[in-house]
Amino acid sequence: MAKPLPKIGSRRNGRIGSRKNSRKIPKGVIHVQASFNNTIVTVTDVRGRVISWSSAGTCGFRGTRRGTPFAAQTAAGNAIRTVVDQGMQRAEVMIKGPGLGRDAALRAIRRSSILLSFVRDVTPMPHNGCRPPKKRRV
Amino acid sequence: MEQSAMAISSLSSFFSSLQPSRSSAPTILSISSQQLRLPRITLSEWTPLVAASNPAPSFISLTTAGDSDILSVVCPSLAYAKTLHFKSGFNVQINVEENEPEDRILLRFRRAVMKAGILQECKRRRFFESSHDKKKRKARDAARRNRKRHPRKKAQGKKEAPKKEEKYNDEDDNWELPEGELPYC
Repeated sequence: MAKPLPKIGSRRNGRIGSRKNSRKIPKGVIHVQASFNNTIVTVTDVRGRVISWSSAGTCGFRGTRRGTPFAAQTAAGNAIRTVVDQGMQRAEVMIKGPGLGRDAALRAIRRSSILLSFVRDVTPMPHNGCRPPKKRRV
Repeated sequence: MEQSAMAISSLSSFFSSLQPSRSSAPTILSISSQQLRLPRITLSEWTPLVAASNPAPSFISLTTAGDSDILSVVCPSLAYAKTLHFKSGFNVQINVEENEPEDRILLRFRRAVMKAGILQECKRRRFFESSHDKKKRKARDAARRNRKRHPRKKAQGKKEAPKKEEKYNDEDDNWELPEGELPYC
C-alpha cells in the first residue's frame, strides 16, 4: 500500500514509536469506533495515516465499564489532548458502529478546542452479505 | 431558476435538432442561437453539437439546479454521489457551522441518524434472523405503521357500542286480535 505504517516499539498509547513523525498537521480526521463493549478513538490525517489513538480499555476501564459513555468521553479526551499539542485545529469526525459511546465521544470532541467541519456516520452496511452469527439464547 | 430554464431549453434544442424533421429545426436554432451557436449541420455530423460555447455551464447548471430526475438519467454517478463519489462512502453527514452549541450538533446528528435508521439496521443485523423471524418483524412494523396512520378507530368504537344496546320497549306490542271473521286471512 502507499502509506508506510510506522512500527510501534512499545505498546503504550502508540505515541512513543512515532516520535520521528512530529509533523504539524492543521487538519485531521477523528475516527470513533463505538461498539457495544468498547470505544476506540483514532486520530489520523486527511489521508488516513494514524497520528494517535486511544480507547476506553487503555484509559483504565475494564470489563463492562468500557462500553459506558463516560469511558468513551475519557478516551476521546485523551486522544485529542495529544493531538491538540501538535497543533491540530480543524477536524472531521467519522463515527462507526452502534454503541453508547457515539454521543459521548462527539460531546467530548466538541468540548475540546477543536473546530469541527463535518460529522459523518460511516457504519458499514452490508447489502445482504455475510451471514451473521446465530441468535443468542439467553 | 433561469439556469434551469436555460438548461432545459438547451436540452430541448439539443433533442429537437437530432430529429429528422428539418422544418422546425431552423427556427429553434435561430432562437437559441445565442446559447448554442450551432452551424447548419446535417445529421451525419455529430461533433459540433457538443463543441458549442455553453455546454459546460448548462451541465453545471444541471447539477446546481438540483433536478434529480434529469441527473439520475444523464449522469447516474453524480446523482448517487453520496455513496460513490468519496472514497469512503458515508451514511449520514452533518455540516457543522462555527460556534454551534454542542447540544444542537448532537440533536441534529441523532435526528439524521434516526431518520436513516442506522441503529435499527445494526441491531437487526447483529444476529441472524430466520425467515420466520423476518416475517414477524415485518408484520410488527406494518402494524405499527398502520396504527400511526389511522389512530381514529379507538374513538369510534366507544360511541357505537352504547347506541346498539337499546332497551326493548313493551308499549309497542300489539296484543289485539285481527279484524274480520274466523279465517282471518
